[in-house]
Amino acid sequence: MTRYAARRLLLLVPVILSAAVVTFALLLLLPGDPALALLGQEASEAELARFRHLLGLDRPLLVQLGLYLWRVAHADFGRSITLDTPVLRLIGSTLPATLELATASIILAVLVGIPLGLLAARRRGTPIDTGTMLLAQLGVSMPVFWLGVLLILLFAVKLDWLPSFGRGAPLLGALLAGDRAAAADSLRHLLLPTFTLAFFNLALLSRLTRWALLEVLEEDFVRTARAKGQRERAVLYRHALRNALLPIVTIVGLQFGNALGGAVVTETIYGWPGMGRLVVQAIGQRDFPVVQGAVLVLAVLFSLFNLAVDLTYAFIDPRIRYE
Amino acid sequence: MSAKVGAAVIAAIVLAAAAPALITRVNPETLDILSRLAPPAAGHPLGTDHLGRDLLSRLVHGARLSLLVAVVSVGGAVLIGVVLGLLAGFYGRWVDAATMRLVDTFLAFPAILLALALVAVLGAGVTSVIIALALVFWTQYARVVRAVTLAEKEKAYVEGARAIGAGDLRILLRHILPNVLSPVIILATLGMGSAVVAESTLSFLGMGVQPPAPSWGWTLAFGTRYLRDAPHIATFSGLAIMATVLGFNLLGDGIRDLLDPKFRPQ
Repeated sequence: MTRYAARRLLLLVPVILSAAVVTFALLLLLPGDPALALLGQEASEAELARFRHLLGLDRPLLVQLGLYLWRVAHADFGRSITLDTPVLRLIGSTLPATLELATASIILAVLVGIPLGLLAARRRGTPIDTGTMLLAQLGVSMPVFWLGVLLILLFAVKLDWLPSFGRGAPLLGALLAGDRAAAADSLRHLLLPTFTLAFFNLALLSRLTRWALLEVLEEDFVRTARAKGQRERAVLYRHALRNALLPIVTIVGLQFGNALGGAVVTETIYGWPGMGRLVVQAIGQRDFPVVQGAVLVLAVLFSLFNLAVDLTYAFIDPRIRYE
Repeated sequence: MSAKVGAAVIAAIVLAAAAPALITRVNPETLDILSRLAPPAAGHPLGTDHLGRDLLSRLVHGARLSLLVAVVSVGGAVLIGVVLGLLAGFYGRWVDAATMRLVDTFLAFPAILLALALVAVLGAGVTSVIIALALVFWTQYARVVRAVTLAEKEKAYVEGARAIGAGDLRILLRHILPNVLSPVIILATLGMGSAVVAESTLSFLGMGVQPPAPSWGWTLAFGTRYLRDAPHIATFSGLAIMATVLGFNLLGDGIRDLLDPKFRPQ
């Protein structure tokens, strides 16, 4: 297992390196002179020259790439053009909010999605099954931003129950400090964005759980368990669900990575002060060092989560390690 | 059953895109400032937007834009994915290694984030959105086509074709390509739904197709500013997007059931 993990970790190095090359290349894709594109037409020649020198744009391309990779390897993502702050500091101040939202959404998706899929599989062919799968189909078809808008319309505008904007105190911090009022406020702010981000994953998980369970229920060992006279509940939970969990674990892990990307939209709708909103704002202001840094950090996190999923899978199913 | 519902929904949307005059004769750009943000009524069945333009007309004409972006971007993704997947699977060695590392690199980014970054540098607009989405979605086709090609090239019919003197190109195009088509068709149908969502998401974030083009995402984005006074704008434009995505998803599931015996009802 250790050798497998080490090999997978090593394979990650070229992926991260090439992801860094892609974020570097983003700047090259800017039509015309990047300095002009970033500073605008009204910038003077002296300002443009200073800016080109600041970004290293006046050097040969390969030198620029080498310098960029060297800086990135030392966690130096440059300075924000609009805020004049190190990009790393901006990322550090927004990442916890994104992780909080992504974690909460995955917990909700797992706690609701898997039991729903189980229910549908147990009641296969009944109206409960049809209703659950219809809900799941809606969930995977509904654009995240529309769901967010509808939830704001209902719970913030019409009913005025929940806030539609911003984040309370960090939830984990409030819980650890035992500050109930702050924790309650954080939860109230967290509810709508969490549900918005979770709905797609929840729907996908319930479909997958139902499918995986029905597939496993056809297996010989389930028939044997039934033939031995085991109760249906024991067959379902002790034999079928345990085996059906393999693909489910994979998907949950991948969904965590996807939640990081999905946060771009959810955070923008709810004004959640995370990395997703940081990227969208930076794009709007053409603050490319921030865009490059944030996109690269999210890509690295995404790759690390995918690696964690692979390792978990290999841990659960030893056949994977020996392939 | 669900496939038929999906096909019917998509047929209706294609009809709206091809011949909007069949549904409404109102010009989507006609401003009627006096009746801005009007709720659904006889003259405007779905109400009007913040500039008094007829919402039904904007949504019907928006269908053309959404379908255009979806068809061309998925078509581009399929083209890149199928060509690279076939080459990687057939030739193996460094061609395969290079293609798969490229796939890994693209997969290292969350899809919508990469699309957003690409549109940001290419500049907002229909062409940029199409290029960005094609570059984001091609990897899934390449992976599937490579896997199928790897299995197919070992089969006896390929050996037979080679024995009668067929060259690589002929084997790839005449013999292997037809066998990779069914998973590609299933993925592409489901991918159309994802492309519709991605296009409207980019527009919603202000980075996609630019106004005054009647993009569904933009209409929804403007609608969110008037949620209190005119919730119909956000509601109906969101419904249009969801119905299209649902249609493609149901159709994709149906085609999968039809083409893949594993999913065929007993």
